[in-house]
Amino acid sequence: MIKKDDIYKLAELAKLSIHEDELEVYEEKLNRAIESLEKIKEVNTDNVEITYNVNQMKNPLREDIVRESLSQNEVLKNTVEEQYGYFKILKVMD
Amino acid sequence: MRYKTIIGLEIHVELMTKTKIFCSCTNEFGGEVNTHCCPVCLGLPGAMPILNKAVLEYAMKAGIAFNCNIARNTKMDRKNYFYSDLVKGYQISQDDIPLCEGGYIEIESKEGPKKVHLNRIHIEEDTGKSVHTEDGDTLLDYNRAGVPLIEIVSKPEMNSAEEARLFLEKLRATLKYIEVSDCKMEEGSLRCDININIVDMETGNKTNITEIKNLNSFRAAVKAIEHEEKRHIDLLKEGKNSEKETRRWDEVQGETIIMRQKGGAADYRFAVDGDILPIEISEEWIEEIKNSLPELPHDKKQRFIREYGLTEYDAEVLTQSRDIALFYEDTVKHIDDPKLVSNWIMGDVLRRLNDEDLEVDSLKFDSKALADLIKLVKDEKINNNTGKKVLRDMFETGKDPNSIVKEKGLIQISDQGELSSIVDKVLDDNQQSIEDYKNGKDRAVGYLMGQIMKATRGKANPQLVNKMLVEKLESR
Amino acid sequence: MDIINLSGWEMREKLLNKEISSREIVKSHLDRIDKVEENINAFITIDKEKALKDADMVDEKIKNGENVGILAGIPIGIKDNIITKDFRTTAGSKMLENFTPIYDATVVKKVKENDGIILGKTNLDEFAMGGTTQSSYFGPTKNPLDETKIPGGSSGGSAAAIAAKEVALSLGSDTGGSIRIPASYCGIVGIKPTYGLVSRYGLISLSNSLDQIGVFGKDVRDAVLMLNAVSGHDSMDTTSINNDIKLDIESLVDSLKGMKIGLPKEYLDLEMDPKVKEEMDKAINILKDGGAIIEEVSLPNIKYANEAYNIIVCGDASSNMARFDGIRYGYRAADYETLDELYIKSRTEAFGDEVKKRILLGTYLLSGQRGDEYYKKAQKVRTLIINDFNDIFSKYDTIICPTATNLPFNLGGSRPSKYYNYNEAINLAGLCSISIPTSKGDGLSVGLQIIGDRFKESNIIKAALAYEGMVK
Repeated sequence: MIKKDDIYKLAELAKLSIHEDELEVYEEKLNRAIESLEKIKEVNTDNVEITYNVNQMKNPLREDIVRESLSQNEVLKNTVEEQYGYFKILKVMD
Repeated sequence: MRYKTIIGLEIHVELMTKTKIFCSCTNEFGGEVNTHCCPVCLGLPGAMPILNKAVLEYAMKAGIAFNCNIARNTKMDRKNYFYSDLVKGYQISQDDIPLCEGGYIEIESKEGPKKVHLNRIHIEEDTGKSVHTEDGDTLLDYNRAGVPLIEIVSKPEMNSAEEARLFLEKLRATLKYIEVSDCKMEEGSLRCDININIVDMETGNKTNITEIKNLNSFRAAVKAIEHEEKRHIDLLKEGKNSEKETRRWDEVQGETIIMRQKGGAADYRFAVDGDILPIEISEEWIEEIKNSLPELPHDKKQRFIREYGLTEYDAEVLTQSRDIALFYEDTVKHIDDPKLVSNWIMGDVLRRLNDEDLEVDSLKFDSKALADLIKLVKDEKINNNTGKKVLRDMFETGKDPNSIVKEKGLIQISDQGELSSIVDKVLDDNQQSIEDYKNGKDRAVGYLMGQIMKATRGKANPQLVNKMLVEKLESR
Repeated sequence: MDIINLSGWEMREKLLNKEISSREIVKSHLDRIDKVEENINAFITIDKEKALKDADMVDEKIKNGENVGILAGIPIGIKDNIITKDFRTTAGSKMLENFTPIYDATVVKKVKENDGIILGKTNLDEFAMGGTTQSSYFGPTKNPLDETKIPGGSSGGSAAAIAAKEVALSLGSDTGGSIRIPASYCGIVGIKPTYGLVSRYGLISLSNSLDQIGVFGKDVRDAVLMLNAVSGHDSMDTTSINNDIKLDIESLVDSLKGMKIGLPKEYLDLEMDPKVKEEMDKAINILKDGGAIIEEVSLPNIKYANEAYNIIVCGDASSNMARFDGIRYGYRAADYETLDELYIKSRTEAFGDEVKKRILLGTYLLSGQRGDEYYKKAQKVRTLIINDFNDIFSKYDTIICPTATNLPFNLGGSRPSKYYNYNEAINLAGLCSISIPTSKGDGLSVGLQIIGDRFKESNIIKAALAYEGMVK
C-alpha cells in the first residue's frame, strides 16, 4: 500500500505536482495498479535468464566516423527561449 | 599516528574518440555553441543511441592498463535524474555490470610501493554545459552532451593527500600513455571527486564521509584534502562529527564550502536501456586490445633502468609522461650519452617546464636541438654555464643552439696560445693578487678566474684556464 | 468509379495504367476528408497543399516515364507519434502541441522514397498510452462503423482514417495491441510486424523493447504493400534486423492445406462477447474447411503477460517521458522561479492524467530496490512466455485467437474489466501478428488474430490471404 506521502515523493522524483484534490484519486488508482501486479511474484523465476531484448544480434556497434551535425538553427528550432546560440532559461535560482 | 585519513577517488575522464558515444557528432572540444549536436545527442523524441565501438575499445584499454577484469557480457543502463544539462532526463551509464571490474594502480608511496585498488571502470555519456549570466539567466550548450566518459572508482585505500596525488598522477600518466584521453583538467577532460573521512585510531571513532567537488587541478585536490583532514580532525577533537555532505573547493578562499547535505542515497531508478542491445566481449577482442597497448609506464621505467643504466629515481621521473619519455629517448638517439641527457632533461628542461606549468609538447625546440646543445658542451665547444644560457635562449626563441652560439660568438676559447696571452695580461694587471696567492690566499685564484672569464666574456675553457693559471702563478 | 472505394494497390495500378492521376486520387480523398473528418476526428494535422504538391510530382514522374515507388500516388496517414520533418508531430499531447521536428523517422523517409502521399498525422492516445484514442489532447476519434463507439487505440486515428476512406494506407505503432485492436474495431487489416522488422528510428518511445511500428490497409494485400515499403534494416536502429525481408505476395496466395494452427486454450477460457465467440467459431470452421489443421495448445505462462507487460511499459515510460522537460522543445510553463518549478509546472500542465499515472507507477516500480523485485522479475517472466511460444512454434505454423474479446464500447466509457485479452504477450515475445475482419458483415466488426513466429510474416500473410479469399 502506498500512502499520500509516498505519492508526493514519487511526484518529486518524476517532477510532477499532484494537486490535493487529485491525491485521493491517484492513491486509489496507483494502489489498484500495484495490487494487480502482485500476481507476478508467484512465478518461480529461479535460474531463469533475463530477456533484455528479443533480438539477439551481436554487438551492432558504430564505427568511429564523424558525420555532419545539425546547424545551430535546427538545434534551437523548437525551444521557447534562446540567446547567443544557447538555449535559455530565465532567471532561475538554484 | 592517532588519526588515520581515508580517501577514495572518483574520476571522470573524457575519451578522445573521434565521435561521441552514441552518435556521429564530432567529439572535438569547444566549437561554436550548439553546433556539435544531432537528434541523438539532443535527446530528441524518437532518436535512438548507437554505441560507438571505439568507446568500448578505449575503455577496455584503460581497464587492461589498470589490471581490471573485463566483463564478457555487459549492458547499458539508464540513470534517471533531472538536470538542465541532461537532455533525456536520464544519463546512459552502467549500473550492476560495469565494463571493467577490480584492478589496481601501483604508487610509490613513502613507505614503498603500494597498490590502490579499484572498484570499477564503467562507460557513460557526458552532459551539456550551463553558463549563468549576470542577469541570473541560464544558457545551455549541448556540444558536450554525449561525449564519451569513463568513470574510474577507487577503493578508499589512500591515506594522505600525497598518496592521492601520486594516484592521480599515475592515473593521468597511464591514460595519456595509452592515448585514451588527453586528461586536461582545465578543459574538463579529467574531473575528480574526493571522498574523505578520518578514523580516530585510539577510540575507533570515524567521521562521516565528505564528498569534495570542483577540483580544477591536482594541486587543488591536495590542498582540499589537507584542508578537510584538518577540519575533520578538529571536529573529532571537539567530540563532534562531520555531516554527510558534498562540499566544493574554493580556490580563492582556500577552503571547502558546503554545497548540499546528503540525504538518503539518491534514487536513480536504474533500468536497462531497451534501445541498446546487450554487449558481448570476446576473448579475441580483449587479446587484440592487449596487443595494441603501448609499453606501460612501469615497464618503461624498468627498461630505462636496464637499457640506459639510469637510477630508479631518474627512470621514474623520465617515465612520468609518455611525452617526456619519448623526448628523452629521441634525444639519446642523437647523442649516445644516456646519463648526460638524463641530467639535462631532469635538470634544466623539466625545471623550466614545471615552473611554467607547461608540457613537453609546448617546447619550441626538438630533441635534435637539445642533443646538439649537449654535444656542444660535451665536446667542450662551450662550457656548462654557457650551455645553460643557450638553453634559456632556446626556450625563448626556439633557435638552433649552433646558430645561437655562432651569432653570439660563444664558442669556448680552448686555444692554448690565445688563452696563455689572456692569462698573462690578467696577471700583469693584478700584481696584488699574485702576492696574495704567494701568501697563501686561495681566494686569489677565484678572483683571477673571474677576471679571465670577464675578459673572454665567459668563453674561456674553465678547466684549461684553471690549470694554466695555477702553473703560471707558481712560475712567477 | 469512386476512387475512395478502391484499395491502395488498385489505385496504384490505375495510376500506372494512366486511368487516373495522382492528383485525382489525392483530391478525392481530400474531398472525403472535408466531408467526414470534422465528425470522425481521425487526424491531428492535415496538410492539403503539400499533399497536392506531392501528388503533382508523382504525376510529373509518370509523365516523364520515370520509375515510381511502390506507394506511388497512394494517400497515407501517419500516426502522430512518428516523427515527420517540418510537419508538426504532437504524439496527441499538449506537451508537443507546437513541435515541428527537424528530421524524418526512417519509415517516413521510406514512404516518401516510395512516392507515397502523406495527407496528415493521425490521432492517438496521448503518447500511445491507452487503447481507446480517447486520451488525446486533440479530442477522441470516433469509430466510422458506428460513431457512438470508440475506434480502439492507441492507433485509433490511423485505423479510423482508413475505415472512413480518408486515406488508403496508414502507419501505426503497437506496444501491446495498439494496431490490432483498432484494426479489429474498425473492420480493417492491421499488421504488427516482428520486433525489429521495421525500424523504430523516429518513433516516440513508449517501451523500447516492445514498441513496433506497423501498418493498416483495407485488405491483406494493401497491408503487405505498406509493410514492404517500410520494412528492412536501418543503421539508425540497432535493434532492427540486419537483413531485408520482403514479402512476395503472389507466392503467398495458396491454399491452407496442411497448415498447422494452434488454438491456445488460455484464450478459449476467456470471457467473450457472444458475437465475438460466434464469429470466432465460424472462423475456425472456415479455416478448417480451407484445409488447415487446428489443434488446441497451451501457453501456461501467458496468464502473467499483463503483469509483466505493465511493469516493463510503465518502467520504460517513466524514463522515456523524462526528456519532456520544457527546455529544448515542447511546452514550457509561463511562470517559474526555479529550475525545479520549470520542470514541474511544464510537465504537470502539459501531460494528461493517464500519462501522469503511468509515470508515477513506473517511478514507483523502479525506485529503491524495486527494480529487481518488479522490472527484472518481469523480464524473467518474459523469458518464460517466450519459451512457451517457442514450444508451440516448433510444432505449429501459426496461432489464432480473437483480436479483442469484446466489441468496441461507447465513447466516453472504458473497457469492461471482464473482457481480458493476451495481446501484450505478442509484444513481450516480439512475434508478428495480423488482425483481419472475420467477415464482411454490416455493423461492428470482429477481428481474427493470426500470430506467427518471429520473422515468419510469410506464414501469417499466407493464412490471412487464404482466409480473406474464403470470406469475400
